[in-house]
Amino acid sequence: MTDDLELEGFEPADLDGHTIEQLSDYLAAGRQPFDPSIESSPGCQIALAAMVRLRSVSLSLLESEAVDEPARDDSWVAGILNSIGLEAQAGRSIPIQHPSGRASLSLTEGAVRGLVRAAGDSVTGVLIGRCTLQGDVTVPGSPITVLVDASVFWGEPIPTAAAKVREAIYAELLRHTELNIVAIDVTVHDVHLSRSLGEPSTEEIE
Amino acid sequence: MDAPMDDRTALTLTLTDLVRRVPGVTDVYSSVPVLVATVSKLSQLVTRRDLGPDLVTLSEVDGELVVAVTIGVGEGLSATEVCREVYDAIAEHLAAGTAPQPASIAVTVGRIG
Repeated sequence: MTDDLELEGFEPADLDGHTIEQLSDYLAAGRQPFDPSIESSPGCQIALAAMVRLRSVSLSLLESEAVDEPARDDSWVAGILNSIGLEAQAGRSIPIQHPSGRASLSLTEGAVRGLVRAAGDSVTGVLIGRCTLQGDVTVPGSPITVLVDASVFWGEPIPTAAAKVREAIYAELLRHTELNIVAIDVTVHDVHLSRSLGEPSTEEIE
Repeated sequence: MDAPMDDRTALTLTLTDLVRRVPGVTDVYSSVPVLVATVSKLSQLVTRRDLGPDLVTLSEVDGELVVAVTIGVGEGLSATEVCREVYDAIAEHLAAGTAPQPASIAVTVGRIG
């Protein structure tokens, strides 16, 4: 999937010694032979899950654009892959409250970013490009803003898609974290349409 | 404070199995992935169960026992609730046994879904 795509800012040690290219090759090979160093890494698992969703969407897009599309620009795929790799890293520790003083409970920032990305990707016709948790997630109760960049496909109305993404992300964060979410800003910066639906265009909303 | 290595290994195995049985836990991750990677190079006949039954880490910090584990949590249950239940399961098990009581039990959710 990463053939001819340039990935920048990604070092081999970022995902327990693996690069996003290695994960892509592993996925393309059907996760065979079984690699324990990948399968036992939460970061690699988060990245692989996101890459499976990206692959599914990009294949659908390829099929819909196969006719009369002489030169596609795949840089957006490389950009998303790069973000997937960077965001899957553990990052900061997000505390979970417990009455015992011996308890040191936390979520990794990578786990939460993976949750946000999966929630956004679950909205039909939407693919998350990048997500960021803005604010001090290491301090309970700190106001946190979620920043999400997204691509919209197949003619979904952008305001509707953005609202669905926001709702899906908020529901998952409310369910799985104790973060004080004060805003979820969704920026739609790419619109990919098949020729049958109209000419490609780009819009941005916040 | 120092438990014999065999006892500590047995306790690690027991705690790892205990954590795996907590509802909502889908994975227990190794804290030493590089070691696992090395092992994987020695054998190509590795399966998911070979990732290691002893993934809960027991260590000493300033002479006190510290327990640490990283887990994956499924979509079905709240990750924060599952994390707390993993802590409670470990704490209750240690409180009921003869092992030294830990100064800290760290449970990290490394993946959700």
